[in-house]
Amino acid sequence: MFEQLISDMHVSRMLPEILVLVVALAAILVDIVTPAGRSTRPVQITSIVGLLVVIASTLFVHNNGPAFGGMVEIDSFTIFFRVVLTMLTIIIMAVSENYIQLVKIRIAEYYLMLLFALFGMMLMTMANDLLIVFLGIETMSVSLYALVGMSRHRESSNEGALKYFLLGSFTTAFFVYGIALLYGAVGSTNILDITVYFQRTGMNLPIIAWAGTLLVLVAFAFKTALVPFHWWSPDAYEGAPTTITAFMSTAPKAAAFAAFLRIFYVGFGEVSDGWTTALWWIAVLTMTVGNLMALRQDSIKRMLAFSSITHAGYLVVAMLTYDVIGGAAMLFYLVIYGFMNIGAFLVAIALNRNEDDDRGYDINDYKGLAFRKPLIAFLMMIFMLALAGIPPTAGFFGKYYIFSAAVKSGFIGLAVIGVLNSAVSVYYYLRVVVTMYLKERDEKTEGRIFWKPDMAFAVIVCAVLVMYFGIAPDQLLKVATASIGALW
Amino acid sequence: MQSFMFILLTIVTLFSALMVVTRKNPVASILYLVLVFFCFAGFYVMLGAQFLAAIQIIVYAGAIMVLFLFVVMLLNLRDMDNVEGKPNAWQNLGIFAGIGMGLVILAYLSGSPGMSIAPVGNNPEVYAMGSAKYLGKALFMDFVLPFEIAGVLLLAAVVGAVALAKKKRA
Repeated sequence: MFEQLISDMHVSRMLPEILVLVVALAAILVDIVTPAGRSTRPVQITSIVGLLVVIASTLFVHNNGPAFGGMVEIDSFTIFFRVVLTMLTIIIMAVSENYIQLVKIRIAEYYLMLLFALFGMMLMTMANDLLIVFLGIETMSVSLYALVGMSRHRESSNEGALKYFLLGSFTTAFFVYGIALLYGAVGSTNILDITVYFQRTGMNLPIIAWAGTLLVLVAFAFKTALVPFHWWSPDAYEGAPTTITAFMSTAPKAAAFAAFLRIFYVGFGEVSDGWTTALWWIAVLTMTVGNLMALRQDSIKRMLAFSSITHAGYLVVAMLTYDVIGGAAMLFYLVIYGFMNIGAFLVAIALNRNEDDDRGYDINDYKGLAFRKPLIAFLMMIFMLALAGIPPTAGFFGKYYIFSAAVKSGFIGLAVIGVLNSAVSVYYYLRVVVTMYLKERDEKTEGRIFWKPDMAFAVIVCAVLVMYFGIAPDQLLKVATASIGALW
Repeated sequence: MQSFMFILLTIVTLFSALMVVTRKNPVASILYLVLVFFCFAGFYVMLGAQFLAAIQIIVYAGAIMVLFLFVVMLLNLRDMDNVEGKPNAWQNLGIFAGIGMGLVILAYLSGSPGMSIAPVGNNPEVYAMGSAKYLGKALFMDFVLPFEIAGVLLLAAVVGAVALAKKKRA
């Protein structure tokens, strides 16, 4: 009977997640046997090799279906995000070693927290139960709080970590309260049970079910930094070590959107009329406010931080459509956004003049960069054009798919607002390109360039992918469509 | 009897919770927090979750609150208006814990079969659900995955806390 119980749990379906934990524990052991004061290179290599095994196990071991009594669901949607999230984490880890030596973080826990964050994110993408979503979000967030505060000698890092922690805990309270109210109405936290409940009630929900849905929506809006719940993000993004800023603006955001999609498409799909109205306004506000704030920034790091809010707004537009085309566009955009944003942040790291100074990301440092370092300037131009959504980069197709999906679903007003916002964003992205290519070199602002082989390799990989998906987007779109199809 | 008890507990909980956030004196805040925790235990008892109630009192109202009180006293905050000294705070703690325990016992009596008019109290099945045995079964069978993930979450939190708190390696 006991064996039967165990085999019904289908533990092996969570092999990649278990492997991530094994890698984390192995990394702890490696750190212990490394002599104190040495570099954290062994931990980094252990983590990266381990994560490559994780990707292999995801791609080559096919074992789909529910596990642990329907608490988690392994389908093509899960696999898509497993691979994407692990890849983004590997890129960040690959460039981190030189950077954390430079900014004097130098502790192996940096990699451990990334691994734990990855574990939490993977859970979020497969969670079929609000309880698991909650635990996944918490595991991810706790790791991110620590990562933001890793530069302990920098005041802004401590400030950002504390603000992020306080607001994040606040969000957790919202989320738990929402789950409790939904449990009170439905009698279960499983999203399939919630669907059945909503099918029975239709839009005539009791007030506690509405309140629960709304609170869950607010919690997700917080985690994906949507306006008006975005106030933690600029401080946390600016305070964090820049590799972590690049990580936070891509992978955790993708994971949060994955859970957002699964919960709202599968669980709350029956009441979509209710939440799409709320999301319509959130999308408009997010795109516009993010843009207006990014316009005013002279620091590349802050500009990218605010523009990541705008990009979350585009993603919400895709989510609103509530169909396969929009969902596929959203997954497509999440992937290419991950690569172009990480690429842009890595270039910003390379040009950072002073690792202890928060204002080391001034746009004036880019004056005449094309004449000084043509390759770096060219790569940065690719990322800026992609973020602005200009062909032939992947950014163009990302936005094209999103807005055409919105038009097809009848959100024409929203699509117009989105395209207008996209046009505004061209200003601050092209400003960087203009500074690099058309401004005179200025000896005063020129500083050391931190361009190590690992960094160069990662940036070039990102740039190649951004260009590749811009020229041949069909393949990725097909995979994205198949993945989102698992939710229907 | 039970609905009266519910209203009484609700009023005390809300009042104490308000006092927690409005008192200037941190020791007073903590004492009211003790009362809030006891009231929660009272709610648990009324819902038939005796085991949870016991854990609530031992872990929250007991261990964690004493820890809180110690920390506040060690910090020796300057603007502690009305606190004359440590014995006073401990004495007050006794009074608050006494009131709280009294409320829990009242809640238990109001909820016990025979005295109650509410469905929970009269249903022996629901009463059995509050036992440690039932809880253990649920935790290790239906909810084994969340249980294990909570372990990972705690590990991540510990590693993160150590990373932020430990002395810098030069």
